[in-house]
Amino acid sequence: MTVYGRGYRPFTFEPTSPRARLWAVAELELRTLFRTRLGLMAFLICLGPSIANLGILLIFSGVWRVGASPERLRSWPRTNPEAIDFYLQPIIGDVFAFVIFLVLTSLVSCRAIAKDRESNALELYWTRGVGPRGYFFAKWLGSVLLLGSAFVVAPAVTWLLGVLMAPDWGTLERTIEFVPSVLLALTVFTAVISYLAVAFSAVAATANTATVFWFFLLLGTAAATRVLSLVFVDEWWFKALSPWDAAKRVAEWICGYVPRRDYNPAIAVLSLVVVVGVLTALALRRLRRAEAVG
Amino acid sequence: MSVSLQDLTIRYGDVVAVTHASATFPDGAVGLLGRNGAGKSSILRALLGLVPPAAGALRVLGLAPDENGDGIRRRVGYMPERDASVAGLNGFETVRLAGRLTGLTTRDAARRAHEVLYLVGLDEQRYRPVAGYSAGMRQKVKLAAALVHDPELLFLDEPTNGLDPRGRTDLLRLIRALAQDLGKSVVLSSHILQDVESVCDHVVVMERGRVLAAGPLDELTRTSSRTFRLATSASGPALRQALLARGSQAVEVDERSGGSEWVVTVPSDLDPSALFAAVLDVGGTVDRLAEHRRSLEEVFLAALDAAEVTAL
Repeated sequence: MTVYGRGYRPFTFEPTSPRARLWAVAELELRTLFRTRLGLMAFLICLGPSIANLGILLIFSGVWRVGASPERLRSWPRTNPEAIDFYLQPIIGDVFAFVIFLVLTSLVSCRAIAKDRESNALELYWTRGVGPRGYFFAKWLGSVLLLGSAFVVAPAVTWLLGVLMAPDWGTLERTIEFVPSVLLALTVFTAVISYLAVAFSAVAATANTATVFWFFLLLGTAAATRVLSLVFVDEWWFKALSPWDAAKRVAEWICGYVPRRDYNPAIAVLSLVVVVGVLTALALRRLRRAEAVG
Repeated sequence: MSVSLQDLTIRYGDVVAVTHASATFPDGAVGLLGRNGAGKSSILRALLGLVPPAAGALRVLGLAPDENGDGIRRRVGYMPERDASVAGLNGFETVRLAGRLTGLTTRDAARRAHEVLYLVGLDEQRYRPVAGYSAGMRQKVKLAAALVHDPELLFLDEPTNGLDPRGRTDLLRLIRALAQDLGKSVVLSSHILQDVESVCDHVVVMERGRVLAAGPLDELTRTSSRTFRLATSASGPALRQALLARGSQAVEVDERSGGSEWVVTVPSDLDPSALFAAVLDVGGTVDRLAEHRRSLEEVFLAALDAAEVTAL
């Protein structure tokens, strides 16, 4: 039987733009977590803070009548939908937020490139219309979109629901001043942390190595800053040694939030620039065509 | 001419993988033959622009890989030796992704993925995860991914690795059909002589990074025009004597019931029809007389021997 007999048809095509080809990579990354039931569950758990906020919002607006009154909720910034803390703290503020970020970046961003290296998929990309830099960017973009849907879009939707459920436009008037900057801050925070994780992934040899080291980087530096806080009681600049704390300080600065333990955000920016620079250089070196397929 | 190499040298750090290789790959099916580590995969990678050559020049479909890598990759399909797939994808998604990365729209890539998966015989299994595929199925999905954009030129690196005899025959038949029915140029890199012999019209023999021999299979396997393979009903020393009497060198290569088979070298001043007379002299008949050809294995071993002699 000839190839025609087997249904083969000659095909001609006009190549799509480089952007479309990179989107194919980003889209793949964006869908990573939704391929398995376990991944979907992990994602839903990561939506926990926003779901909790939605519950508070329902109580606050009187839709859901349980013990707490709107006045009581308003008395604490963390439960007041008209305060900046309500949107910012569940994502970057507390230990639960840290754990959620750690889990999601460990499952997605910091495995993004390492798992492709492990399965020799880099050869698939390099021998088609995608180069190392574009690939790295697309992986980061997919990762940002996935993380952003939990850490930026979910708070934005919560705020919108709060505005729509309120009896008047008072909530909108009282929150419109800070919500856009909070969303910008959360976007920058998500982008920085996922960039570091994806760069880490490009450097590591295997996905599991990347996950373990990423886990230790975030946890280890966070623990180190806690220890240093016992030494430098009145100084807080050393918190910038932790990428998590540095990104958090930058996010707080963007939305004008003053933390309890304040320090110059320039130190945080400098710290992130150094880490991003070093990781980018290492990642691009590891992604060179010859090294990736060698 | 689909590919040309001129004095090509490829290095990985201090290790020289290919040294001063020159060869021309005409259109059609070309075998890149050599043992493991001969430098075949390095040449394919250099042709795809994955590895920069340390010296020399190369052209693929008239384009230089270092100047027009994208143009080459769009017109070339590559089936790597190693398994190369994105974790978690099924066969259909893998081939569709390959299409989209090459520049097909999502819709075209999906349509072509179905077509080429049917072509390679994976239509029933296309929605199963590639991780659960057998070795043969993985080879087929790699071939489908290489074919998805209907390239002019296919680079196939050890395509029959890990295949059972039936799968190997099927795949080779398909590769041959791609070259013959669709007019695709195929560069088949393999260490398996039979694979190359059954598919290719042209061969480039490599060893330790060097091109030892290159040319049409027909020419490489041809011995001197004065050597024949003679099948006859006669046998034994009498026939040898009769052939020697006419100045011909004869070696009996096969003794069969009711006859024998000989490789006979005829001197330049002797008409080959004299062989009929020699057979008649001993009371036999000529069953078949044909130009003698070497097998590709003999060509390969002769090239290796020649290289070793040169090295000494």
